Amino acid sequence: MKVRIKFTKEVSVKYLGHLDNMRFFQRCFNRAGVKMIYSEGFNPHQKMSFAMPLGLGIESRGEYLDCEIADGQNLEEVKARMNRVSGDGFHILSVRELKENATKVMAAVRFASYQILFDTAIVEDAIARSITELQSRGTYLVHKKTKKKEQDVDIIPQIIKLSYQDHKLNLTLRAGGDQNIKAETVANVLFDLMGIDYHREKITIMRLELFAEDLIPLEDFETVVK
Amino acid sequence: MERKLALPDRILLSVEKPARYTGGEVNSIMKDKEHIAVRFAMCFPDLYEIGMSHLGMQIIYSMLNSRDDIWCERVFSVWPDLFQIMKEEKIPLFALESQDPLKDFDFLGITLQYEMAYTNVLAVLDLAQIPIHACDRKEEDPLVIGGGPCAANPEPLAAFFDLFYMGEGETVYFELLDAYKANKEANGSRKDFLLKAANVEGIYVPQFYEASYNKDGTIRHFGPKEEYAGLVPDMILKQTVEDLSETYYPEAPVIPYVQATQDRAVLEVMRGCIRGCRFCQAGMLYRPCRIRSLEFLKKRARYLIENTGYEELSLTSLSTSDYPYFEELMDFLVKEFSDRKVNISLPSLRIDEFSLDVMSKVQDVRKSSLTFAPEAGTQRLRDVINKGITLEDIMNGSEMAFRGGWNKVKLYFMLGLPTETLEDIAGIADLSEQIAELYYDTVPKEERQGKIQITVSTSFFIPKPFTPFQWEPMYQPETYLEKAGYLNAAIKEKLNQRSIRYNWHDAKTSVIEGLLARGDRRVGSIIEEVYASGASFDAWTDHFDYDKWINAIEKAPYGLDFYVYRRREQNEILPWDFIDIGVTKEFMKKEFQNALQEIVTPNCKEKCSGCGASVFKGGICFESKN
Repeated sequence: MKVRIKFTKEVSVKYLGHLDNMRFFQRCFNRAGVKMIYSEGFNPHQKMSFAMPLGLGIESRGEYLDCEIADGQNLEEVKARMNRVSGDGFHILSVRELKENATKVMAAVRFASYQILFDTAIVEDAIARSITELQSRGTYLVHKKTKKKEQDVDIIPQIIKLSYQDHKLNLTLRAGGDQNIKAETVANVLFDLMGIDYHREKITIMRLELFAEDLIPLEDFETVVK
Repeated sequence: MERKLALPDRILLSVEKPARYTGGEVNSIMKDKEHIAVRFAMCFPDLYEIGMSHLGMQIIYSMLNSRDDIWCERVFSVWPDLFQIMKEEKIPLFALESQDPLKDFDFLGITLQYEMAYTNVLAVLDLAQIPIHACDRKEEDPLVIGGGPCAANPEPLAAFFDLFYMGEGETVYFELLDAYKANKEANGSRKDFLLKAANVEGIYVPQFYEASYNKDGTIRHFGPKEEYAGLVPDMILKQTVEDLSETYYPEAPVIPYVQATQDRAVLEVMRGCIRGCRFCQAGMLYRPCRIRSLEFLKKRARYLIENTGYEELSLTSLSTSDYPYFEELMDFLVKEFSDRKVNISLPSLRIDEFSLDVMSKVQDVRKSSLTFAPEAGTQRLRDVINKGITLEDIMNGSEMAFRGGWNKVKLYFMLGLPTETLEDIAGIADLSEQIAELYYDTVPKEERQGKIQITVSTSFFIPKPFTPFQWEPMYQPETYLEKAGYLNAAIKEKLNQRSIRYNWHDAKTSVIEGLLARGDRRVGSIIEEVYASGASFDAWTDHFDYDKWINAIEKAPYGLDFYVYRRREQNEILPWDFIDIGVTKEFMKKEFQNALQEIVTPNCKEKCSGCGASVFKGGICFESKN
């Protein structure tokens, strides 16, 4: 049975890279006594795929992985058992069965929402003004460099929702395609508009949720609701 | 309760692998420090990935934490990128669990597993803002205690430690920490405690002892300082666990998030070794050889896998084939874990029919390689070092393995052994060639999975304290390189040279390791000088800086000629003579004579050679007499 697991990655585990995450889950499944389906071949391994990479140092309350487990296991019990043996900051929020022929988790991602917390030393007004300024722009180009190419990307169409209050910025961005931008990029732009040097320690970023098409949270997308 | 990290985001995000420094791993132990009488920081002075691979540290960690009034935490060396930032910003080194500075602890325990970590020891003290010299420490500073195999000659580090623990950690730690607690409750001073500690069996407090020297630089006398005569023991007795089936074993070891070098569950099947290889310090230090019972191991294996979720279990000891219930243990493990996808790994196996059969069950033959450690290229030299492996053993083992499908062979040797001749070195090339030819003779062309791959590795022999070769000189780095060059040329002349890969250790590192291994108190100033000139992570080839060492040695009254290249007289007082490891100096002398006469000494199972380790009242010394 294919299942989708939603989990948090908070506090100190935000410093773990992708491979560390994978090893953690592999062992967490084993400790919890979850019966996994292994790949064939000389080097059998658990079948596991993660939805969307999370930058080092970014926390999340909406991480996802799909994996295959042996049939006949009670998913609520799987969740409870995993939480009993999990690590600080990793909390399993839901375990749901995927419908047959469900889209692969990586391919299903369309949007991601974030909360950015600004350092309280930054004047509230300045942040609010920079946001109003950004929203008034029809386009805002940022230079984006990836391993494969360099290009100017207009961030305005990437921002789906944006709301701000009390040093807290809630953002929903397009995700998954090659045009996607990071939450940190938007923060960077706001610092530019405020005329303040950007430093990573002036903000904390939390990913809140990943969505499929029509802003359906991944846990509700092509999963079996009991 | 959320832990507050010692380092801010800004710093953690600017260094390599920040999760090395954040703790909070599964099975790590948190306690409320308000209810703790003794805070103990256990340090492995190397990178997190190395230290977290070490079983001894996990044993002490779980043992100390089994007591409610003690909290043992972990700390490792920080990589130079972070070290620099912490120095600049004056952030003191902290323990992983509480993230509190080490200077707030009662004890800082440092395990000394290899000599090339000595500069890292100083880096840890320095970064922790603890005075480097024990004599400069104040009442509120932690007590710095050293342990592990290198503590067998603690003298080069004597100035930096308040105490050393000789031998296996399972025996007197609680006695020591209880003495500390009692002293604290009685408002005793640091010195009061150290005097009590010096009288706990196995504990050495270097500041109560002193050495005087002869004109030629050798030790004239070593013992308690005049004012402590009669108050502290003259000899320190190494600690040994009597019954390894009635002791602490970590059932839920800390599981690192960052991948450790040894990323698996570890089951120690026995301690010590029945074979008395004359170059091997561990073989002497951990005498007598003691086994863990089959029941103990079965139970621990289950707990380990259940509590960690590891998919690999490694059996460890100095010579796992000598474990008397090996067959039963393997049967159990294969049955217990095969459907759970747990691999069993088996280092330190003698290659024979049984071990090959076992290996083919638990490993992928095509990927794994056979390992032989003949250590010397000729039977003559193998007899000198008492390495009880014969050409026949190697050839029979190889032949069986080739028939079983293996085609990768690793061979380990040492260069520069006592009495070595060019013929012995050439013997390494001959042996490698013979194995290659055997492969082609054994495996028909149509069944061959490609060429035979032989990897020959040589290290340079380094005489260690408490071995029959402890008096022997080493060679200059150039001489070592000539030896390696000679072997390389000999291999290149062989028919199958393309199937033989040869690599050798760094000669300069070996010489420095030789200096630290057999140094006395005066070597401490060299270590300090090297550290001050910026050296650390000397065990890492890229970081080792020979010139820094040479510069520091040149400033010292005695250098490599005295400590490394000199043959010591057998009646000379050695810096480690005040430590009693059970095995007697008389036995070492006898063994040295046997080496020169190429006489093989039987292993402890065959016959007791009266080495002295029977004073510990356990293990093979008694089993064999039953």
